Amino acid sequence: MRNVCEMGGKVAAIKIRDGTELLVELGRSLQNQDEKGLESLTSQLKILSRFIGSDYCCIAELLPGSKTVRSLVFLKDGEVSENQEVLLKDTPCETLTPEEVCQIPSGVQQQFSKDSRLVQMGIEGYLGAVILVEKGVPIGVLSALYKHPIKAPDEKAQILKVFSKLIEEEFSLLVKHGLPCSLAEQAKCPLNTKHPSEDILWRNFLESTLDNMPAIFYAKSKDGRFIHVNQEFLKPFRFEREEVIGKTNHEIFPVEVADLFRKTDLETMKQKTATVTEEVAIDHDGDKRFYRSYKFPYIDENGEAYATGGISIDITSAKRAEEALEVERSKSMQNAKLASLGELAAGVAHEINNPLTIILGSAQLMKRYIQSGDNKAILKNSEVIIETVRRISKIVMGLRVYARDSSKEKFEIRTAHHLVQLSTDLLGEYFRHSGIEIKLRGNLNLELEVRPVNISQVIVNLLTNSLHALERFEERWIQIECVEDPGDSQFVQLIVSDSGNGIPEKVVEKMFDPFFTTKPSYQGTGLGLSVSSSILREHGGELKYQLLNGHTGFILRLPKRQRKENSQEVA
Amino acid sequence: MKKTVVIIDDEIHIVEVMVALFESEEYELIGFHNADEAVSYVNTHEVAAVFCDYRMPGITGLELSKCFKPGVRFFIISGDLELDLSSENTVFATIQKPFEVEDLLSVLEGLKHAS
Repeated sequence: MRNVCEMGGKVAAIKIRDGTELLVELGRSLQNQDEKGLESLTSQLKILSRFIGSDYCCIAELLPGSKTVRSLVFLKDGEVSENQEVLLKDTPCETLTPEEVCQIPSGVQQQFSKDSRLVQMGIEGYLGAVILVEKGVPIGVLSALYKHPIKAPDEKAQILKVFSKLIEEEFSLLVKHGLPCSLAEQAKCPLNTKHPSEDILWRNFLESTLDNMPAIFYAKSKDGRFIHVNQEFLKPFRFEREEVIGKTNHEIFPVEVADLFRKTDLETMKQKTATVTEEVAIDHDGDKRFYRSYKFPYIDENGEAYATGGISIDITSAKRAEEALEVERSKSMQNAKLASLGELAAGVAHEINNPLTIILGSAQLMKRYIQSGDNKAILKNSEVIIETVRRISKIVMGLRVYARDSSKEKFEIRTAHHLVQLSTDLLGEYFRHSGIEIKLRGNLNLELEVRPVNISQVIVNLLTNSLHALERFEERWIQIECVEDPGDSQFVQLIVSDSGNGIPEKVVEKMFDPFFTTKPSYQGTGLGLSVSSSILREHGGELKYQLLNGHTGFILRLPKRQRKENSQEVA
Repeated sequence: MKKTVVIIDDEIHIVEVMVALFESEEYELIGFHNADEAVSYVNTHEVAAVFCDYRMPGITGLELSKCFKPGVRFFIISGDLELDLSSENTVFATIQKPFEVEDLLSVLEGLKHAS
């Protein structure tokens, strides 16, 4: 275990006046191979305590931070007593230096009046030495306390010094192996790794933890200078740590980004609570990166914030996915419109080719009448042409619903009648040929602030559904009624019902889901009702299905006026 | 003696324009915008040809073609883009709206030679 000769050599090198007895006893103790670790140290301390005649004698380890000592062995009247943990501040142990033994032969209570223990224990004299490891790093304290003034303090101090050298190795082994700490204590305090250079270890532990964390970490001083950043912080910006430490946000980030960072830092220090924010930064490759940042203040013993820390998680890929989803959604809305355009194409072509036939025919007739000079017939045909061209442009206006992305359309104030007209103009031909009667009821002069093309698209969707549904009914009508919402005069209800006898419950459950359809695949995409319902939501309204006197009905509930942010679009 | 040609369309303007365009020394044009009246006229008179719209309220031109007495030269005139009636033996031919006057006249000429 230990080389006694070597120990002996060490002892011999230190000159003492009258330490023979002590050495003999210690030598015996050291040779006792049965005793190990703490036991061995305890018996050695007992020898020392008896030899220098102290009332209390103690070996204590210096805890991380060097502010506290904890005794490994505490002797009272030469017997083992309960271990103690003591703050060094204002105690005689605070004055210790590695170079020499501290001697306060008497009056120690007066000299350290803040140390109440000295009074409680009735201490008069103090001797203390620092225990070092080979590199000269202090790892513990050896002290002896006397209830009376110390006689021959120099001699006793010398003995203490010799002893402190003697136990260095034993002590350092003990501390290294963590024997003084019970397992439970160690678990509670994993950072208390027993090692000579606690501070270095502690720093290394923290740095390794931070550098291996899959998130960005940074700490900034009160004036916004970086105190510490981890590896993850350096990566996206390809910074070297030296380029960052001591710098402010504004010295390393573009001004608009830095402004935002500084603002949340100041807010965190002011509020003295943790905050969560979303932040954006431009990385080394010029790409935008999104972060969710958890910022927190470091609070000193006076309750003041002296720094801010932050942990930022890269949420760029989640953001990108969100954006892609939004693009997909908008695309599928456009597709839905194109698909229903396909459905309507035949009807629309028919609707336009008929008037074209009239125009072409009338124009040819006019040529003839010009030759024959029949002014009356010329006038009549030119009027037919004008009227027919207007009919075509009305249809083309109706097609705007399908022609462009109308999600950016402006909010405008329109009467319910105007909105219904936009839709029925487009489907007029269909209604005529299917023998469907369109009944308009209620107050169609009520005004609404809407995106007109959007809302008429919803009405077209509902009317198209009715058209398909009514194919199997003898009685064919569609009614559009406009009333003020009986529950809230700020809202208007547009009720579209038809002579059908309601929708099966199983269909009702799912019909607002995207891609749900009862039509064969070539007839519908199944996006109609889900798109319609999202258009209504964008207007601050809603789309509801309701059985009205046994007939199929849909209620478009819309606010008369839009909230401010939407209204501003009108200006 | 003039030959009789019948026009059937629910659009009054189309009927008017066609009657005015094709009325000549050779042909007498008679227009209808009601299917029932047209059927009763054609079945009780000698007609050279019937030009009929496809989409009409409550009935299609194809359905109507089956209501006439045999031997009637029946043409569908339609604005529909994808109408294919080539396999229908009650339909002589389909003419796409809008049509050129000359095209329709040549159809009538062809009839003269065929009869």
